[in-house]
Amino acid sequence: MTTPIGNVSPEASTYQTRYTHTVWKRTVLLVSLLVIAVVAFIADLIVGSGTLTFGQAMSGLLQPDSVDASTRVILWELRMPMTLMAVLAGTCLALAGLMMQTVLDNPLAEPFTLGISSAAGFGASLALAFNFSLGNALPGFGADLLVTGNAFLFSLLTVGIILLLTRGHVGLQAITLLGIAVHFVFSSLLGLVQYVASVDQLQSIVFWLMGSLLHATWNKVALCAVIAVIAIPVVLVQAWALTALRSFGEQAVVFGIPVKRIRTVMLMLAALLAGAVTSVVGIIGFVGLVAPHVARLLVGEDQRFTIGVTIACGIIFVTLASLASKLIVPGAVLPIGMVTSLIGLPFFIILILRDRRLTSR
Amino acid sequence: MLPAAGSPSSLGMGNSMRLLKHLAAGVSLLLAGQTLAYATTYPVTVTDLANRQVEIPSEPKRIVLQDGRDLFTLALLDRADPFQRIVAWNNIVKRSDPNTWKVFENQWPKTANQATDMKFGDDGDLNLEAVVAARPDLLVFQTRARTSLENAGVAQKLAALKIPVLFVDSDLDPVVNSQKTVTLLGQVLNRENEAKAYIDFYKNRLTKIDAITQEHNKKPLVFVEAKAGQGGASACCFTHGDVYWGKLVQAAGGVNLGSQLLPGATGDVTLETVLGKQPDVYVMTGTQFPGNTSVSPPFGFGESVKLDAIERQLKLLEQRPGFAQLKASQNGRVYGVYHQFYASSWNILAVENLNQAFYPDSANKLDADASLKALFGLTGIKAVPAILYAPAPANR
Repeated sequence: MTTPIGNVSPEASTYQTRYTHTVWKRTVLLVSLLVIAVVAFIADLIVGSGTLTFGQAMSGLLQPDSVDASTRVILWELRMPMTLMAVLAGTCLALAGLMMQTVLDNPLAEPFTLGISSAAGFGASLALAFNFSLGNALPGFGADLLVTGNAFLFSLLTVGIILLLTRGHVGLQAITLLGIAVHFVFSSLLGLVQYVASVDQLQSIVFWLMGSLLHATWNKVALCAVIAVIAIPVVLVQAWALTALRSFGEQAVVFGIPVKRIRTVMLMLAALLAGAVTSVVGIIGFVGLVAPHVARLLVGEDQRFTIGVTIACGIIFVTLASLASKLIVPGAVLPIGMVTSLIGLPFFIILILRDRRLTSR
Repeated sequence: MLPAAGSPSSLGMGNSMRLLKHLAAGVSLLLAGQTLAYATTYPVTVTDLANRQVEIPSEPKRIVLQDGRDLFTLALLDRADPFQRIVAWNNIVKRSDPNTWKVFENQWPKTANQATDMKFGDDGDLNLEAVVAARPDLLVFQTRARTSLENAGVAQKLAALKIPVLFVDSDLDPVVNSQKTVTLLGQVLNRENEAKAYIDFYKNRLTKIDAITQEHNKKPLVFVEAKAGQGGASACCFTHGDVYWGKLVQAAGGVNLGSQLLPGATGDVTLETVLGKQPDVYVMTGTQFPGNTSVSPPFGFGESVKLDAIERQLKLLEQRPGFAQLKASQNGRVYGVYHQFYASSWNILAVENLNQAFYPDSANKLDADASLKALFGLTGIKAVPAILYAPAPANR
C-alpha cells in the first residue's frame, strides 16, 4: 500500500487544492445561509402582522422620517424588538446547543440539558404566581423585569449548582447526569407552582412556557444582545480548540488544550446565552438541539464553519417561525416555541434522509 | 374563645340557634304565601349546565366547589353565610384578588376559612381521598372542566361514590348561563326565592342595557385586553375569543374584536393587529393580582381599593409603545373593568359598565352605583366601597 505522506508529489498539491476547494465551498455555503437569514429578518419586519403595505414598510425602514408616526411606531417600536429578539433567540440558542453538544460530547445535548429551561420556567412561575423574585433584593428591578430577571437568575443557578457539585472531578457523565437531576428537581417544583396557582396565574405560566416574542422590548433586546456580543467572540476564538475537543475528547489535552477550563467556560457561556433568551421569550426548544446537527450535516466538524452555520440556521429557524406564528392564524399570534419546531422539522428530516442515502451507497 | 365542639354551651347554642332558624323560616313561610311555591321538595332531579340529569336526594349541607368564584353565587343564595355549606374548595378569590377576599373574610370571619382549600385546578387533578374525607353531599364543577375530569376518571369514581356532581357555568356563556346557574343552585340548595330575586334583578338590568343598545344603529368594535399588566407592563395583548369577556362584550352591545381574531378561547394578538383594526373602544381588565410583578389596575371590592392606584396603572399601561397611535386612546375611550367578573354570576355589573363605555351618550340612563347597592342588598355583605370600572386618564 502506498502512502502519500511525506511524498512531495502531485498528490500533495491535490490535497492542497481539495482543502482550498472545501474551504471555498463551505464559505459559499455559510455566506448563502447568512444571506437567507438576512432575507428572513427583513421579511419578518416587512410582513409583521400585515397592517402595512410593502411600500410603507420599506420606506419606513429606509427613511423613518419620511413616513407618518403610526407607521414608524409599528415598524420601530412594535416589530423591530420582536424580530431582533427572534434573531437573538436563534443565535444564542443555536450557539448554546452547539457548545453543549461539543463540550459534553453528546449529540443529544441541548441548551436545556443542564435544566436551564425548567429552572427558568420555575423562576418565571414563582414571579407570576407568588411574586417571589430573587430580583426583589436588587435596586432598579422594575415590575417589568421581575419575571424575566427571576427566570434568568434561576437558569444561572442550575449551572452554578452543577459546577459547584462537580468541582474537582469534572466528569462528562457526572455533569450530564447532574443536569438531568437538576432538570427534574426544577420541573417538579414548576409542576408544584402550577398546581397551586390560580386559573389566571396558571394560564399566564402556561403561555410563558410555550414561548412568546411579545414580551420583547428594546431593553430586553439590548440585554440579550450584550450577552451575545460578549459570548460569540469568545467561542470563535476557541474554534480550533473546540474542533480538537470535538474530535479527540479528553485526549485533546495532548494538543496543549486546557480541556477542563474550556469545558467550564463553555458551559457557563452556554448557560448565560440560553438563560438570557429563555428568560425573555420563554421556552423555545428544537433550535438548540437541531441547528448544530444541521450545521454538521452541511459543513462537517470544522468548528470555524460549524459555529457560523449553526448560528445562521438558528436565526433562519426562529425568524421564519416568528413570521409563521403571525401568518398561520391571521390576527392571532401562536406561541413561538411550538411554531419553531414545525418550521424547522421538514428541513431537518430532508437533510437526514439525504445523508442516509449518501452514506449507504 | 370559642366553646369546644360538643361542650354543653355549644350544644345549647346550636340547638337554640336551630330553633330560631326554624322559627324564622316558619314565620317567613307564613308571611310570604308565594314562598311555598318556590320551596324545593327532595329528592329532586335537575338538569345541570352540561345537560345531565342529576338527582339530589336531600338538601345539600356539605358542598365542594371546584371554582372558588362560585362563592359569588353562594353569597346570593346563602345570604346569612355563603360559607356555611362549603367543606372543600379551590379558593381562587383569595389567590387572585386578596382585596375582595378580605371583604368576605371580614363579613364572615368565623366561617370564611373553615373549608379545606384544596387548590385544585381544571385538569382533574383532584385529591379524591380529601374530597371523600370532607364527606360532601354535593360537588359543584364548572362545565369547562368536564372533559378533563372525565378523562382523568374523576367523574366515574365520584359516580361510584354516589356523590351527586353538578356542572354549572359562569364563563363559557356568562350572561345566559350564570342566570341558569343561579336558578339551578337555588333549586338544589333550597334557595329558590333568593335565586328568583337575583334573576329578577339581573333581567331588569339586562332589559335596560338591551334597550340602550337598540337605540344605537352602530355597535362599537371593542378590544378587550384581559388581565392587562398581570406579567408587567411590556407584553401586549392577551385577549378572549367568543367566550368569557367576548360574550360579555356582546351582551353589552359591542362587537368583540378578539372573537374575529382568535381561533380558540384565549390567545395573544400583537398590538400592531389592534392598531390595524383601530377598535372604537379598548378595555383593560384588571384585578389586584397579588404581588408587585403585576401592574394590573387593582379593581375590586373593599376599603383598600383606591381610584388613584387604578388610574396610575391604567396610565402606565397606556404608555406602552404604540398606544399613542391607538384611536381609542386618542379619543379617551380606553376603560378598565374588574377582571374577576368574567367568571362570576355578578357579571351583570360588568355588562352594565361595558354598556356605559360603549354608549357614553346614554351612560346616565344606567345607574351602576344603584345596581351595586341593590346587588349588595341581595347578599349578606354590608355595602363596602368598590371600584369596578373606570375610564383611563386622558392619554395626550
